[in-house]
Amino acid sequence: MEIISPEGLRQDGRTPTCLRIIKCRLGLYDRPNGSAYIEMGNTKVLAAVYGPREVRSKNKQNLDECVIQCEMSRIAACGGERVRRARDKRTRALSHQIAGVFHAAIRKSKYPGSQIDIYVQVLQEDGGVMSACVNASTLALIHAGVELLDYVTSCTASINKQTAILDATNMEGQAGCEVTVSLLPNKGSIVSLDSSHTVHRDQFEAVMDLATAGCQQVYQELFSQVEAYLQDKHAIMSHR
Amino acid sequence: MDIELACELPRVRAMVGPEGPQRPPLVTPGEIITHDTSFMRGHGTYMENNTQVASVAGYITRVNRLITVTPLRQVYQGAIGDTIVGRITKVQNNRWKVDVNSRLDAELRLVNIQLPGGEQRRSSLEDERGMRGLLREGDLVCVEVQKISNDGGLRLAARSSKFGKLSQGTLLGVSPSLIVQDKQRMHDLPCGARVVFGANGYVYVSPTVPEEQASTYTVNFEEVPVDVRKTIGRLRNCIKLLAHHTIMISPTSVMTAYDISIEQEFEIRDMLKPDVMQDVAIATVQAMNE
Repeated sequence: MEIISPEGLRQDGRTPTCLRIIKCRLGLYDRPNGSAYIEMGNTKVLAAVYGPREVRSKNKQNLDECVIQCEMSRIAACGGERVRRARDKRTRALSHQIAGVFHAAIRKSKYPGSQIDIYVQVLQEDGGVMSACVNASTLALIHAGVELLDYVTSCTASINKQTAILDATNMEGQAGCEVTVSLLPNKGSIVSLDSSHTVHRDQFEAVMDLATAGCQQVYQELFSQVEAYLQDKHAIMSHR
Repeated sequence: MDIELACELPRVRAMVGPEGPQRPPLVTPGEIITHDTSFMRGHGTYMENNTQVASVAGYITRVNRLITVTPLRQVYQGAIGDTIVGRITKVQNNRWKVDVNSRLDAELRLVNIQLPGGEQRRSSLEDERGMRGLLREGDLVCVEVQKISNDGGLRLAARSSKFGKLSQGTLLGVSPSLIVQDKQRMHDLPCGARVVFGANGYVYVSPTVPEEQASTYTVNFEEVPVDVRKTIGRLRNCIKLLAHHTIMISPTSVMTAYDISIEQEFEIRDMLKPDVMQDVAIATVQAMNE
């Protein structure tokens, strides 16, 4: 089956440089300090943030900055195949990667001796799981009021024959590679870059540029959501 | 049995507060607040390349040359003299560790509490051995912030008869930024309950007790009458709905919500339903604006 039709459209009707529809919400739960939900097309992710709080194991405590831990899990029916173990090697590797991304964004020196826990749960996966997790965690951290240098937005891009395609779904990602880029959008600096398969050197530049541009679009989306959330809530807060 | 669908209620215009210039400007992380370097950077901001940038999402407050950004939800920062409510997490040598909704557990030393039997008493070895008899893990205490140590941890004190262990009642955690700053933290509300609005966001609702036995380290297990328990439950749900709709929590707003819920004859358990919560919240905002 062709990924891109002769008219230049993908199977879901998008052009190669078009993102899937993003829907997100801040503040689902009371118990965690911050929580968020994001839908990027069919990829759906929940995130919850606990902390900054007292460290649980003393030998991990760092008296100069905070410890960031991330735990990712997927529900059994999230993908095409039934997930037998919620926390396998791959999810653990992804969790470490997500924690690493936020090492670059959280102002760790503000919370010496504390710990921040990020829990992400994948409800449905359809390409770009890592980027949906990063975006959801960003929103949850903002909701928790954790001090951040900037948003972290993430987006994937892939390549099909000669055309670079943005925000690849599962099927499009399988055909080519999946390059995930995480970005601090206001600084323009990349905090993580990951590719699922090899990319040809000549094509790499184009894929990177497209993913970076996608991150900026994701930022616009997240920004407007956070702003709407604040306007909703803060209006009433000013009543004394 | 009535069945309800759990869906998001649409936003109501009536809840929206002041428009235009009265509304404080909002920022989100990474947004540049000012290029002017003469401003001092307060909480929630940082300097980069001679520009002041926000690091949390919230509204800007400007006091003279100091700019701070206050987020909607945050952990408790701590200020000396605050009355707070906490829960004992550990009993250690000479001190207790207390969870106070802060980024580190606070420390309450044995010498900083008023021991039973006289203000002038010195603590002895027996007291040290019997620390768990005074306060054990899971107990709730009402204390005062005495000092903030270098690493940002809080030192607590309970050197007066109004502080100490909290007996029967119910605890509720809200965001500390929702609690109205007030000198008086413990209020005996006219509906017959005592509410402690801890500055750290922990609110404790309990039956009113006579002044002389207000603070001891023994718990009074006398049965609380049903109507008092109902009042406490209603107050708890009122505070919960105010917090859910981000309305500032003060004795006035809690009493307004309480009166409205009685006036409109809502059942206590119904007050956890989203539509009832919204109704009471809207009515409270309107009543407070008048």
